[in-house]
Amino acid sequence: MSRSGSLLSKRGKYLTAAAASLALASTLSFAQQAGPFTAGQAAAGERAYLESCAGCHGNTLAGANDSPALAGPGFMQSWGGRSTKALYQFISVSMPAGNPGSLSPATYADILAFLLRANGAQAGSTALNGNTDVRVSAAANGQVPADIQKGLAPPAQRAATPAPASRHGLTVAGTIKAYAPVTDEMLTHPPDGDWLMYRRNYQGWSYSPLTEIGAANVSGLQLKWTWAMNEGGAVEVTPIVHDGVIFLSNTSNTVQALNAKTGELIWENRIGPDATVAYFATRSLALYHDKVYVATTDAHLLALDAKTGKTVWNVEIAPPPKSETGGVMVIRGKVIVGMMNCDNYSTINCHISAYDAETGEQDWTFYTTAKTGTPGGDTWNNLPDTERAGTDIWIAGTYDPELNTTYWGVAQSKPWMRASRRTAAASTLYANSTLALDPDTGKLKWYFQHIPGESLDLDEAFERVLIDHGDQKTLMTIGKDGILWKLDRTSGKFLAAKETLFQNVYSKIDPKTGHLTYRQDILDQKTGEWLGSCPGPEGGHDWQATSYNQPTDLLIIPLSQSCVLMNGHDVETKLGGGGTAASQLFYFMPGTHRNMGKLVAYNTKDMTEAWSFQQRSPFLTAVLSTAGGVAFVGDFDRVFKAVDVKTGKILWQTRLGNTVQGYPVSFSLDGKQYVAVTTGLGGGSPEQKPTTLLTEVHRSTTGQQLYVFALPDRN
Amino acid sequence: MSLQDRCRVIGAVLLAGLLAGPAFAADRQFAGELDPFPHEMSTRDNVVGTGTITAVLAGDRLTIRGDFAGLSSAATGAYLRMGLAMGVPGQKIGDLTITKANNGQISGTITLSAAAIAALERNALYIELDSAKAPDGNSWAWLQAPKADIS
Repeated sequence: MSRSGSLLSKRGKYLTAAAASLALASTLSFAQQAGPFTAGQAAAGERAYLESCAGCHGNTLAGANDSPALAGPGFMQSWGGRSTKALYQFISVSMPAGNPGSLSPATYADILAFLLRANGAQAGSTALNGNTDVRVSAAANGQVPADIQKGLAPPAQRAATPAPASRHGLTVAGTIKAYAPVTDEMLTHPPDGDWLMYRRNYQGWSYSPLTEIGAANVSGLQLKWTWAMNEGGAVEVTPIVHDGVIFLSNTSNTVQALNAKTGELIWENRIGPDATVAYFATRSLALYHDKVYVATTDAHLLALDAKTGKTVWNVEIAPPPKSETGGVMVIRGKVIVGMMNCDNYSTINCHISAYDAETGEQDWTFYTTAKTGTPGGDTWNNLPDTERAGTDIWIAGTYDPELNTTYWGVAQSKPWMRASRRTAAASTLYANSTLALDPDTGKLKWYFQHIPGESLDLDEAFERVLIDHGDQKTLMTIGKDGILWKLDRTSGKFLAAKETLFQNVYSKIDPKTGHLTYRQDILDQKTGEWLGSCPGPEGGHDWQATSYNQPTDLLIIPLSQSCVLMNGHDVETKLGGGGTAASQLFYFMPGTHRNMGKLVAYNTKDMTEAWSFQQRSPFLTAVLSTAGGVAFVGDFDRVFKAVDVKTGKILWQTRLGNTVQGYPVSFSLDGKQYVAVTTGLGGGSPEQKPTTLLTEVHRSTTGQQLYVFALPDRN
Repeated sequence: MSLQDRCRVIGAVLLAGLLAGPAFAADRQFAGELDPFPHEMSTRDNVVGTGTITAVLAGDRLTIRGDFAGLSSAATGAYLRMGLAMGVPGQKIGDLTITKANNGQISGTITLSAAAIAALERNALYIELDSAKAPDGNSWAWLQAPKADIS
């Protein structure tokens, strides 16, 4: 539940930190009276919360990811000064995430009653409803009852008869008859017709050398088959293709093998656990030798027999709530994965880790949060290690075999705003950095921190694309702030930076060093104050990755044009506390005519723009480009399109069942080229912002699906 | 009026200003579109509406004209405000006259300080429209010079 208070008073003055503190202090000392709800409502609301809300906000109401805390000082800072009627209105039109407005009015009222109880309010004799209009701080004081601090028991532990669990394990048995083991040589030089890893090659290009589908004939594309995927959770997946088989990661940690020509299911392994939140999309599987590797929403890493889907080994990387969904890569016999969901204060800091591909035995770990006493450990303003949160890994890395170096991007530190996380101007390594690691040992070769002390949820966590110009070996990346970076990947030396869309976060970008200077009010921030940010947490650029089209030397970049006002909360400094801890209000980027989507191509050699176009809906897929001169991309409003790589001209488009979301791929079978793409729901800001801003877009609450296109068969 | 239509209107106004250049050589043209004020899902129905704003700077006097339509409640006020940068809300620097209805016009002339003129040069002035349902901001339009389409 994202939330906000009044932005500006009628007199046009901002809510000041001092005022917020006074309000909070007054609520904490307030003598409690009977609240505007009954005990029965609060009890019913607790059950409803566990079923519909706890998946995102947690069983201590501490929040995670884009889901803020619903109990304690952060909640009171957001809602203490507003009315129960406004809170009811907010919940009833925007929650649960992914299916807003789906609960009954009575259930929303019950949940609101429970939230009040969770913030110290006492039950009374009057039932609460949607018209109950009481200042939240008049009923609640922000003191969380002990039973909620301890953590609510999930429904299954409460029910007399627990609900039957979903069936897990190898649910469809079958065997791939002609499976050729995937070798190191194949990963280094992928066969033209395969898509063996996340971005297809180690360099992270998302580029297919296939040419059958080109600018002249792409308008003849036809749907060949489609496959209904699991509902629930979040879909942002890359279909992996080898020798005519698609290995598909579904939600609920389900892995399937499908005949790529017919769509026939060959085997299925429902690993579980079932998805309970609309986050943590598993972005990519990996293939190596005779195994397929999957890292799960509950931070396990599994090797499955690629021919049969049977589990070969299964290791736990970390206990809940950690996850490992950013994608898997394999380098010379090591399976490498990065951790996510490090929002809240924990004894386990986020890291990248490597495992033996044959046995699952752990090899090395690199902590993306520099801990006390380690290099960079003095960049966290002396916070204890348990309060060094964030630095998640959103996507799998890239790899240069010649340099034997793997490159990874790291997310921001948490809470989002430095005033909330109490790090002042400290840089908080290795947040928002590019890491160059030795894949054999996990040792750091170099790092480049793009945004020291980042403060507005503007991650630099996305794809690191490896591009050569003659002898110059470069790494290019772009983050939520929309700045396209070019580094020397042998040394990490800064080469160039380019603004790809409007930004108002930095007052200066040093063209020689890449050093960014924040706008003064961002440097002076306090909790409880609103700060404008263009772009906002949607990006700019987000997980929807770029494509490097080698023949044209163009990097094709999906961008989003939205902004936010962000208001940082105070957080509780205890294990499980912290979180993202900010409220947001959304708005269109000024000067864009309310066009949220922008597709732009840059010449990578000189960083000049080749072409761009805007559209109303943002792009929710990565870009796939091909040697046929076509780039594919899909958007929030269900349109999947092909554009001319050289000009950006739209050559073909079709409407699919829901938001086109994921990583499109291309492969060939018996000399015929195919294009595969998923529709999906779930996710953070890239879903939330257009859901709020694009009032004319209506989507189904289901429709996660794989679509496969090709040109008509020749007779 | 559709977004495309509004873009055409702004373009026509700016073109007219440019063509009239010799007579008003010192005057400078600015324009903006009314977009929804920052909001969340539960308040988005309160911040609907469209409109266009044009402004002419003659010396230190900024004359503002505009129209709006489709608000979900009657307009209650309009102001010129100055932010630190485009897209960053800031303090009020002048009152404007507005039709107290769901559709209507905005107008006014405000003498700008040197700081405000500098802010205008960097697209950091905006018009805020308030309404009965959105008293702290229904819509805003950031003033930009011609060819200042930043996307």
